[in-house]
Amino acid sequence: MMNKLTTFTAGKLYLMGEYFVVNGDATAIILPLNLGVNITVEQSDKYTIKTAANKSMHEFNLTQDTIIINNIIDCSLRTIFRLLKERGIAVHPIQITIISTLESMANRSYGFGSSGAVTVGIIKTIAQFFDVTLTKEELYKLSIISLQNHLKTSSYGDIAVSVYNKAIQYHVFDKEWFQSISKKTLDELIKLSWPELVINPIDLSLNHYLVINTHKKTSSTKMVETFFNSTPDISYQTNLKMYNDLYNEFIASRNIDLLGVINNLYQIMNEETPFGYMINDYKEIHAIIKEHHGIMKVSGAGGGDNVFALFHNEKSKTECQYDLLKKGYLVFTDIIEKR
Amino acid sequence: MNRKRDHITHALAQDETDNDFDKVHFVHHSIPSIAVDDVSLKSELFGQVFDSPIYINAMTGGVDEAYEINDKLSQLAHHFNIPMAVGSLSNALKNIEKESYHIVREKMKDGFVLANIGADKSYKQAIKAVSVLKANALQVHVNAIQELIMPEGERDFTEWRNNIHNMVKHIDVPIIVKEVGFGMSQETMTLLNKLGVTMVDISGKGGTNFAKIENLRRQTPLYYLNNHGLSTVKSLLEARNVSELDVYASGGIRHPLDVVKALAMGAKGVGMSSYFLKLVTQKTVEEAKKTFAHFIHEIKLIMTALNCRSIKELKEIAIVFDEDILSYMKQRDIQ
Repeated sequence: MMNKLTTFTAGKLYLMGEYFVVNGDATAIILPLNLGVNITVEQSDKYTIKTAANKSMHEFNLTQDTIIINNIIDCSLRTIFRLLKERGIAVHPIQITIISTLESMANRSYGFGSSGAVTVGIIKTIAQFFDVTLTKEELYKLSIISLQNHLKTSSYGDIAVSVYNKAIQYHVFDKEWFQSISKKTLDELIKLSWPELVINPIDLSLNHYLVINTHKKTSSTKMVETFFNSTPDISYQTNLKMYNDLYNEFIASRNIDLLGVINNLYQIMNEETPFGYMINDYKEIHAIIKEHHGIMKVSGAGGGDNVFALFHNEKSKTECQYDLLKKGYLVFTDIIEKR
Repeated sequence: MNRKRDHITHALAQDETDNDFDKVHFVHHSIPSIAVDDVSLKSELFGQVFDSPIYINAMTGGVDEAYEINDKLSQLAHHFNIPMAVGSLSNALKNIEKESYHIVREKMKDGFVLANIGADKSYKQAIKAVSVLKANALQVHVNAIQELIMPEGERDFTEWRNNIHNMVKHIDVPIIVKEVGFGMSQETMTLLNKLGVTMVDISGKGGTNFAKIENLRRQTPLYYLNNHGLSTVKSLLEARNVSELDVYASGGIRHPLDVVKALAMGAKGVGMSSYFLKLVTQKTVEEAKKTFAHFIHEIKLIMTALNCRSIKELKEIAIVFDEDILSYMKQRDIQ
């Protein structure tokens, strides 16, 4: 039996993950980061957990209904211990330590998929610690079950990329089907084939890129709800078709210029809705990137967080980085996992 | 849609005789020091490097005849890896399934395609035009004279400058503002530069004449406008006083010597439409490939005679103009 195990689970950035990936109207492209969460599980005399945000050790008892540290950690622990119980695996007290590089030292979120990485990381590490073998797809499905309260507003692409730790094409499973399945054991659920789920690892390397943090974080839950509560018109359907055609062309050609076209199209789709789901802060960033002949691509749905700047050469990238830093933006380089 | 059909028919029938390129001359030197194989036509067009400085210019789309034309043109463009601009997508935006445009991207595969839209359109429509074609760049045509002669044409141009400015601001692919055969003055180019434009296709008088075409469609022709506009040569000279723009030349390019003259006068690239239109309507694709391969080879022959290994060297050589061009330059304060 293992005494101690440490694992790494990658965070994410959506290269393409506009609102319509949530309901399956489009397929996402998600990239793993070389930033993530390190989770250590070791033998102990009681069940305890420690995170960077909560420096002291918290004792937990899985039979109680109380929140341990936060809902995400709580649900992940309950899911994996439920699986261990269902499989009849004997468990003993453990100490869990979570160290994340997906937030700032001051615990500020960058939108790098911390919740997904923590969920996947906890389930994966505890399973491995107790010698439970899970396939990647089973780990993904267990993580979804753990986070099923977010069913309406999440595509769960962050979970998929944290599990696979590779650039992926991702299409969400049929959520209506998921809600309709009657109660089963976890093993029965994860062995089922989930309709419409597609997770395809792809070779995709970005050569000259920056990731710019907007310092803005809006509630993506609220934004997604607003988006789906609006009635799609003919223009939306036409634009969506163009979006999907551009997506397919990008997959076929890997021409980064197409990402700029997709971003432009998404911008006008945003403007053609009665509400704006993209933040205005992109305008200044866009102008700076454009000045350096770069291509801007909003990461995710455009409600805040991060923006990609893509260039055809290193010189333009470096010059743009300098100008962005001068304007006070937080700029990340070389954070995409190279595979 | 009959208008588009008329454009193809009339463009094929036109044969302009007066061309200012005949008033531009190279000085002959008897003993070159290079071989034809030394000549490289490598050129940077619209931000990308290509093996030749030629591109297929905006032509047609939206009617049945255009499907076959665009099919053949895009096969040529793909074979020679040259950029291809389609005709105006304004109508295609009403029906994005129009095959005559889609065939271009389909046949060009990962080739360089330029979408085309009028300056009367908003940046949102322009983005859709780029999106529907998955285009690498956008040509924005300015065709005020054509519109004014056209019976059903535009009569209000108050938004054009705003539209162009907004396209430059909001769209991430290269934007080329293009005339439609009436040429560009230095004032126009300076204005465009102030609007943020960095690339223009001067499309001068000498090729397809849209004044004549639209006049043929009018019951009361404005025939006195048939010769309105600046020739490609004069437009290239006008561009000498505007240093911040990449200037592309089109309009009345008849043969390889015109291409070389345009390049020597400062054009970054040379667009041809009626040459290619005639090529694909009169020949099979295979025949057209052979003919155009000869065309490219002939450019190299001329450059060899001029002792120029590259287009950069071509821009350094002496050019002599006829008296009336010199008079024009003097009146327009062009050195």
